[in-house]
Amino acid sequence: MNISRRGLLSFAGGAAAIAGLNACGGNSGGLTSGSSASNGAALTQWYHEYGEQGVEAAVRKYASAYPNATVEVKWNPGEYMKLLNSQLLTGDVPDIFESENGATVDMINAGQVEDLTELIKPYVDQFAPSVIERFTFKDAIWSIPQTIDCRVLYYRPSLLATAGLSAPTTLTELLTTADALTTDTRGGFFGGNDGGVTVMAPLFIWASGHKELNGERTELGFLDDSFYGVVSEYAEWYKSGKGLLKAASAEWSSAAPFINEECAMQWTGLWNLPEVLAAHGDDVAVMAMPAMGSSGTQAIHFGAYGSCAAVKGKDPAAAKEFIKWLWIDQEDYQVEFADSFGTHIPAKPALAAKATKLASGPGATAAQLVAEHGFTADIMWSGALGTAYTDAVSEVVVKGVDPKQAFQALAETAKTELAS
Amino acid sequence: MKRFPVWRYVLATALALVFLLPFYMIVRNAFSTDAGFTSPHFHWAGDLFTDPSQPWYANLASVFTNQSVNLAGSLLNSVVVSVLQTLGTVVVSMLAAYGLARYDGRASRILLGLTLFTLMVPAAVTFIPTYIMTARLQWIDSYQGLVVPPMFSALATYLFRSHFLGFPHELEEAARLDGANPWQVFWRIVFPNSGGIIAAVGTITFMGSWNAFLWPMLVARDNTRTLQVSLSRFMTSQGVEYPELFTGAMISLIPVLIVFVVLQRWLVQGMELSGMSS
Repeated sequence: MNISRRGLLSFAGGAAAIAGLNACGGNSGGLTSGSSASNGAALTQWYHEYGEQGVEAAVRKYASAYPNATVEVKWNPGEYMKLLNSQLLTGDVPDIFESENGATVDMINAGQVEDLTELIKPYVDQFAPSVIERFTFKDAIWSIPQTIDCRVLYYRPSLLATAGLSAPTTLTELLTTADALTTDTRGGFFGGNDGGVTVMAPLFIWASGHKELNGERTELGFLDDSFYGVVSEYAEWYKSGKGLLKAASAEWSSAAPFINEECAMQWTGLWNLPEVLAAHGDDVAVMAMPAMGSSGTQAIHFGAYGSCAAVKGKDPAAAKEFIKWLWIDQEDYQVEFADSFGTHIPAKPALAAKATKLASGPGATAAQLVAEHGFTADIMWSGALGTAYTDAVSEVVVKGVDPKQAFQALAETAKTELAS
Repeated sequence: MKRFPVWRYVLATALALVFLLPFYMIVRNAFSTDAGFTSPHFHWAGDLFTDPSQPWYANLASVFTNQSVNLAGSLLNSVVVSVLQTLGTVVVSMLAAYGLARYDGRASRILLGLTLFTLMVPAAVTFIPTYIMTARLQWIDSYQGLVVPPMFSALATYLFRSHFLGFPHELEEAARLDGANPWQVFWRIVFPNSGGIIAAVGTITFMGSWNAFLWPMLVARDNTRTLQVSLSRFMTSQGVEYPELFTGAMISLIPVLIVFVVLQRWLVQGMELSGMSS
């Protein structure tokens, strides 16, 4: 076979390109670059990217302070849960990782996470009961709570006083108060540029005295006339268009509309508290979503990251020891983690008093409300169910569809989802 | 010469302005402060131009000096990955398509069917298996992990095949009569006369690779993070840094615009040649 000079050069070029790519290095998950342990195991710990400055440095400080192992922190920007779920399917997993609202059903059912019940058992009473309940599945606790985030209703007491009103205690009062506080340049209530549908949707369930699922978690637990009445009441108000601010300069997660005085009341995160206080000073208060319907209760929406140990990790026992050390024993670090870089609530309610932003004022109110009226989605409430539910709420609120009709399909979807 | 009615110019200009509005908003927001971005009173110009307390380029300086984002390194990674993936996709798809177009038999029809079948499989189905394979190859946080898995494109193969089916056989026969083997026919006759479709597929692939997010987010880590993944650092569960995000988006648009402007003529021609245009 004759090989021309051009052919030889082409072949050599291709081979060089492949060799060049191979020389670019690589690994099986970015997990192998840590130094070996000088005293015990070498562990890797994954976090999602926190937005506040200083968190990354703080968690690296905690890891390096641990005396019994070398812990390498991996900071992951982007869609963390997708990245984590994918990595857990490979053979090279992080030894310790945080997971939104604790370990997921899929992680537990697939045997990817260690049972941490024995680890937390002696200390379980120190943690917020609502968080422990959320982290419990199949009679076991699979994650240790790190810190709590929550959403609250911000309002300005001076505006209520001027209008001769007091803080609303029911949904009906909230809507009439919002109408009364509305002016030509200011809306009454803001919960997002979709008319509050997305953030109000889960609150319709909890504040009306229901749970997402029945006790056996086999079907929905809220489809009754009382629930339909609550959603219809909000839908009527949405149509009237008086006190509901439907378009603002930012989404519900930012406090800009409340700070800019585009609205008198806003449902947004406690994480915005420093900015809100800077803008309105002492004229700020927070409350839970008022009770809805005849058998409702106040409701606060919280979320909590939990620390998990991977079953396929290099040393699960050492990983569990580290989790206990950091998230159960090291209370100074827990307070710093919650309080120094943003406004979060320590997972142990007793530590809230040590957190400067939660010691008094709206922060203290929020911490108490979470402990007493905190709700979050059931562990079996999947993303598909959540989306289908929000779509159904939107049909009722925005399009005016009859609630019984709108939620009929959801009930069928739920049966299929929960059976699988 | 046929006159082009004035109203058509007016309509075309109006439509162009509508299409350009989102790009204008990106630039406007890139030169705004956070307060200006969320201000309830809209201003067409970014407020950094009127804010005496900081320079108009404050956001640009901020994103380029942010060590944790490492925008310059991410830009370089994006360029390397996009160029390598474009070259790889063009070469692999072109060779595969030429074979499928010229060697008509049962085997090639089955292969063509299988190739097109992959277009119908949702990416979500193949995503996790591909990731696991990539991890087992130790290709996480490497250029080969970012480039090789998405390099094989059924769409590109289909476009090239459509082009080669219409390529004049006479030119290839003439070359063969002159003693050229199939390899030489391809590289000396077919390849030089397929500039339009190569530019079209290259542009589509480059843009797709440049804008890719999910795959680089999974595979790229500290050493190979691409621009789109780095920009996501401005969006966290504790809020969005809008001015920095828009500044990054503006920067990320520049290479794509350059590629599009340079290859625009070829792109349109390639679309027509491959039958994608009506």
